Amino acid sequence: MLLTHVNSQVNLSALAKMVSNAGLQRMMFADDFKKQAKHLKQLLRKNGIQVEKKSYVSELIDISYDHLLTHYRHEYLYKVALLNSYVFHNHCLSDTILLNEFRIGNSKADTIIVNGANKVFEIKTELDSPERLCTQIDDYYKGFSEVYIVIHHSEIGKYLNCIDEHVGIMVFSKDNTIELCKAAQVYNEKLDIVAMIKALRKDEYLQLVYKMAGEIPKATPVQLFKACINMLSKYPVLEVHAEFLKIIKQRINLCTNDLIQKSELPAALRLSCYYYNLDQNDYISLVDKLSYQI
Amino acid sequence: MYLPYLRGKQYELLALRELCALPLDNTKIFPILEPIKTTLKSIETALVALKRIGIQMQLIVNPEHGELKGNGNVVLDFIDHIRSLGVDNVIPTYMILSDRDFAYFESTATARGYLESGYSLVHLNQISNVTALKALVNNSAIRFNIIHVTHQMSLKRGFTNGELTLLSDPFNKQKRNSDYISVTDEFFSNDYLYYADEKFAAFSDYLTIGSEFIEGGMLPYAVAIHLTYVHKDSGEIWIRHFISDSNEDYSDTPGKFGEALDKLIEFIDAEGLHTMACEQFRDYHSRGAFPGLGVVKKLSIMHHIQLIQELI
Repeated sequence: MLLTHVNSQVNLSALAKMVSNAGLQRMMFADDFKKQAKHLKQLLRKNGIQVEKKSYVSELIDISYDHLLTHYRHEYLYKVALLNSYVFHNHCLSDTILLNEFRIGNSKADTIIVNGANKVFEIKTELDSPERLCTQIDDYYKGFSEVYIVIHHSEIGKYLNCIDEHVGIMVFSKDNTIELCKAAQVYNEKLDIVAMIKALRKDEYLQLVYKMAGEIPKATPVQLFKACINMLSKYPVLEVHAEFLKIIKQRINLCTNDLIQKSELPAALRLSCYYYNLDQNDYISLVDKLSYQI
Repeated sequence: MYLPYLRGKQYELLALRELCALPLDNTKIFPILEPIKTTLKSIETALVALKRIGIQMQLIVNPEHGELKGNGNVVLDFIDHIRSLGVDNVIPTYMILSDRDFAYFESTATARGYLESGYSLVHLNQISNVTALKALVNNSAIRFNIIHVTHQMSLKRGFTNGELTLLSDPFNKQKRNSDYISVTDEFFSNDYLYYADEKFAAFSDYLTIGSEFIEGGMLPYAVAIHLTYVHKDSGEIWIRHFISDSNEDYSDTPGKFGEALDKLIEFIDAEGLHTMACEQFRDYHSRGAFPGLGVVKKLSIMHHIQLIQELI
């Protein structure tokens, strides 16, 4: 009895690993696609699911996703729901950027959405614990104005008391959508110019300095970063923040946005294609693979 | 003789190639190279450069790490191929960890004629077929019998043939670069002073990298520059670790390099060190340039090899 239980957890977590941002990208875009697709099919069988002798890869992905929704709601499912239910319904992708595992302070934000607003989503699934939540949230406010925790609808009570008043709550609902439970308040008191610079890529922070100061400091490569910090520290934090968000929004990729909304893509795959920065060539080969029978 | 043990990574090979300009002394330096990538082109380039100054490389044919693990025939074919092109300064070198390694050595070295043309062995473990191994070694054209320090007493006994070499790993590797802050100056090795007294013809080490094999690498919180030097009183080799100060996250690697480099320059100026690598460090320092972390490793290795060459 115990052994089957342990086994089923192992099989579920193995399946969850494949149905994740990295797992799906590995399967769909690496060289050993057929091997990985076969592996996915085997994992479904191990999880006790009847699979037809010949199944389309897109079906296998759908079945895996549905199975995990019932039995093992890991973080990727929340991220998928955030895109498919929340973002698609409330925002226009052409003016919105989603960031995955974005480093700010000493934490990594699960999902960040920047459009007119800027929001961080910290996902705590039923498989997670509230540990580190406070330090994570503190870090997020160094670069962003609104912070939400995203939790399972059954766990509201568990989290209600461990968050500050301006932190919002979203829940993963019974219908597997993301619903607003408590709106976040804009909180800009902890915005931190150094943390914002550190969160950007080199070309981006140079652009930030240029936009603010009209020039890039003359410094040796070794001194350049510190010189940028010194220069930007003279400006009001809200002005730097506004420019910081504009620069992040330059990462919006209109072509990818278009492609991931095509009906050929399984719901679970859209997000990992978004983060993959899917281009036209990727898309053509992807559709081919999805209709492959294994 | 000194046998620096290197892995076939980009900057380790570059270190060897740049040292050709020193030039390396072909009576003293005999690098050991463990290839880790299936593409051996960069090793060929290094071998061609080393051949011009008469340096012989011991190339590991059964690597323990990387893409070539368990795929030694690729290296054997490579050796035979480049020898046919006239690049003959390569000595097939086998790691002996188990009886399987011995069997592999015996069959391939026999088939390819290495028992007559020359080969080396790196003894990492005592094996059960030790009698047969010694019989084969003592009656064939072995160049270097390289003995790992852990088992040196038992492993070195009974070999009457080949240059006995002591392989040690004096680099005290810390988990994180910032951990070196508590040991900025420590003993490294005195092998070069005593190897001859202990009946070794040569010695070998894993330089300032250590024997542990690490694939790739992440951006570090702290930048570390490791530099070996001769301790004035004892004549032993010590090592200094120059560590950056602002180590709270992994931003601004160039700035951290600058912090560590300031400390290194102060030290080499005070000690009057002028190896090729030290001069390059001075050049980066004067320009405030950041060459990348691979170059930092390259210079650390180059410095160590030059230091030893000048001591022996």
